[in-house]
Amino acid sequence: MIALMAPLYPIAFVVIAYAYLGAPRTTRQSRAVSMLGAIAGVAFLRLIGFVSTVFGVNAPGCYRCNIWQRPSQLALGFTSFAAA
Amino acid sequence: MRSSLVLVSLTAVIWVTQALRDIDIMTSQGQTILVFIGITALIIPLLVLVIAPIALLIAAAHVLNKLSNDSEIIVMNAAGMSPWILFRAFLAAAVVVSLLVGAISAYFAPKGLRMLRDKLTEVRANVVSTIVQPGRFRAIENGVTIHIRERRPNGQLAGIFLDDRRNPNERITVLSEIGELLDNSSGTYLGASEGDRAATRGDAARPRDGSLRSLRVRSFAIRGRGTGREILDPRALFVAAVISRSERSILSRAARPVPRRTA
Repeated sequence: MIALMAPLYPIAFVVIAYAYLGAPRTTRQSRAVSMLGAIAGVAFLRLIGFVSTVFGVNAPGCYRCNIWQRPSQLALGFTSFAAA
Repeated sequence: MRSSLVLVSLTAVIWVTQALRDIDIMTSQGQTILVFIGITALIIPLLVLVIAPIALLIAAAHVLNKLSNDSEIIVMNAAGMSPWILFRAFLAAAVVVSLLVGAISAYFAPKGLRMLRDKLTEVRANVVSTIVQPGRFRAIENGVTIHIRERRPNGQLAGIFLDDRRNPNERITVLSEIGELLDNSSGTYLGASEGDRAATRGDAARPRDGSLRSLRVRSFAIRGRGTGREILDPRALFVAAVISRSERSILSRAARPVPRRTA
């Protein structure tokens, strides 16, 4: 199951990047904060993945976290698109 | 394109850090650099599995940043283009990477790791042939000492001396001209020929009168403990029993030629 969820990482990452950096801005507006936001978001998502895999060995409930994180992240990302 | 550039460079860097952990297969196991690269390259699918999405993110962030810098995004927006249309291009790239990651995580990474484990076990178990160094007396385990004069290019050992004092009732000393390490289903053997096997009955330190039995033999085999590939500790492979001429049936099984593994 974990292996089958791995292909969702690229899509989730692109959604995060686009949600943060895809919004129209003039060249006078700084994009540093958006860039940091995108990187932090991706790092957080990946970290949850690693942590849930590591702890899932002893507590199988953690795998649920790993399985649900990407679909929920995708849903969150698409909602933020729609809002923008 | 950009994504694959990032992917290759990141994978190379991280592969080096991972590969260096197994550098001992070159330094202490005496394997060639090709074997080293071949074995450690098997971890690359696993690295790609983790790195490919990150490489895609870096590429996407770079492209979006460039589009923003060139005021492309704001122009598209001003022209009334929906953000979904631009997103579709990114989604297409993501789907390609996603297929790659899917194939790797479901098939290639597990297969690579399995092969890596097998190969490492083979190479490490093969240390038997490297523990014994020409010109050095090596105490292999308690009470067993071995010395060889040279190792020939065809894998034969020449000028073998072996002293086995593990059995308090019998001390066995073997001197032989030629020997070979043999690997088969019933274990690892040191087969030797053209030599003498001398057994001393009783307390090895104080041999009783007339207890020295010397047996001139054409060939004999010295059997290792356990069987074949299940053994991970190379020392466990070594001499557990000296099989004399009376046990020729075992010897003939042991002497069956076996293909040399990664050596």
